[in-house]
Amino acid sequence: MPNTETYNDRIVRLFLLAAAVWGVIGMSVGVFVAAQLAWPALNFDTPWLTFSRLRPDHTFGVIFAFGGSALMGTCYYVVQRTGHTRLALPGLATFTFWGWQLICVLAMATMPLGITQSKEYAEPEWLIDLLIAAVWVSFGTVFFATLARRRIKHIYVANWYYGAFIIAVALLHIVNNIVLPVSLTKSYPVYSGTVDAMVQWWYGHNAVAFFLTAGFLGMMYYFVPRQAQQPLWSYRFSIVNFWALISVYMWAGSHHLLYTALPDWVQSVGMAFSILLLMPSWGSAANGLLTFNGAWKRVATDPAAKFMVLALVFYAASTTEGSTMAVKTVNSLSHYTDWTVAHVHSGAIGWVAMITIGSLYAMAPRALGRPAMHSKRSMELHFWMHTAGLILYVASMWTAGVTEGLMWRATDLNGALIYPFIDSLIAIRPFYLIRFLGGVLIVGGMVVMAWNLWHTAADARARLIKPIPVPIPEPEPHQVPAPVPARA
Amino acid sequence: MNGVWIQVAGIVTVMLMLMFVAIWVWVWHSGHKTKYDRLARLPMADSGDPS
Repeated sequence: MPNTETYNDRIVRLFLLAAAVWGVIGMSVGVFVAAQLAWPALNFDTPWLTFSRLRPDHTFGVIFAFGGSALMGTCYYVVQRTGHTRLALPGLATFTFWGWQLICVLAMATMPLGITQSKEYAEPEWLIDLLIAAVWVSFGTVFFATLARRRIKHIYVANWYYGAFIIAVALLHIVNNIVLPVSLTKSYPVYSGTVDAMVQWWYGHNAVAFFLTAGFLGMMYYFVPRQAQQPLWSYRFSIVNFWALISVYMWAGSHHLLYTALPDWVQSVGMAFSILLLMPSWGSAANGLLTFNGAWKRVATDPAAKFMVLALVFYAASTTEGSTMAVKTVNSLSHYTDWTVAHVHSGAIGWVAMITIGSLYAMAPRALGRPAMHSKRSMELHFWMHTAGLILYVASMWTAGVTEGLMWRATDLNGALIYPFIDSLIAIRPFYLIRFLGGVLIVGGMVVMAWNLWHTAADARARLIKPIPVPIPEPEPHQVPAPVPARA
Repeated sequence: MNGVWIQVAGIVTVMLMLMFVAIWVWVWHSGHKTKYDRLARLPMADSGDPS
């Protein structure tokens, strides 16, 4: 019987488009709030335009709308390719797309109106949280149902990371959002005091761990060997890194609460596990970079590969920085300063955004049935705009952060503070201007990407997208589950 | 933490370390080599001009 089963790339294309749109929106809001820090009059004395209301829109927009759409799209793409099977439950998969977009619109519309739980990275109110839970469970159902019907016996390592990302985020979301609703738009957490802070930062740190790390490592473990056209440097090492990462990351959240009312031993546990995290972080970064061994010429000519290599470099760099900042002595200088902002953005713009952009450029032509992106020159332009913007951003915020830390702790011979707080703000204003310029370059690059994707999609539509047949492998002995027959 | 919990924490830590070593041994078992070499190449199959 001829093989008539094809991959479901329609849902992948929808998420691809959504990621590009949300990337531009989320990062534009970030540039606007960065401008407000340099020119405070830009809030126009309008409550919903103030930094405090718009900053959650930026973080939600880039993490959950842009990152979430990219993760769900690539996850659906990868699980089909690595299982040699079509996506299960197509109706539910479509629901995850529209449900996720509705969540993003509702969250980003309500937060500027002041409807918020005031929990970092978990601002949306309880009704939206319920919708998130429903969509997330549906996403997990589609993913694991597709895994169950795979034709390759072993589950490829990228799916291990995607699976951990789905399960852990569900756990984190539910535990951190247990609240008592008092109206449709207001609720109060069941936790209080230090426990509330610890639950919040257990969630906050593991949102970084499992949403912004495990999920994107899943992306990396598929698209880096795919783009390098080289086998993964060490498949064995990827498995060891997986178990090390998921075992260690959960315990590091308390490093966000050093020098607070949290018991000292809990702070020390967070610090110790943060240092241990260096092992799996460097392991995965090295595994990805070494996969390019023998294919470095490709990096010179392929912008998508360029994005991936720099993403891995920044993954290693930002995780090293994070572990260092979790050491109490270093944290006493860095905490509450813009050094933290630099660290977050070297991870977010350097690692997360660059591996996403590289993967989207690698995936888009395939999902759209085109041989390549519409314009390779604009991909190159995007790479250099993003890189320049990233360096301007993190270098300026590193300098600003260390300046703030040193000024805040400076005392005279009598132990009195040398600098009033306002002096530190005046000292770092030039760095806020440089950060704004970096942000403009990054958003400009995202607009170039959106334009390029749009034209690649237009080329595809003009030629009618041809579905890609699923390759049916020879059955392996004792394969579980048994291969299913091909179907349309 | 009191004395009992310190003992428990120590035992759990040692067990976790042993489990981690066991994962290394399991993964590096020579019987897995062919399978892992094949899997390392899996993403490379997703290429070529689809149009």
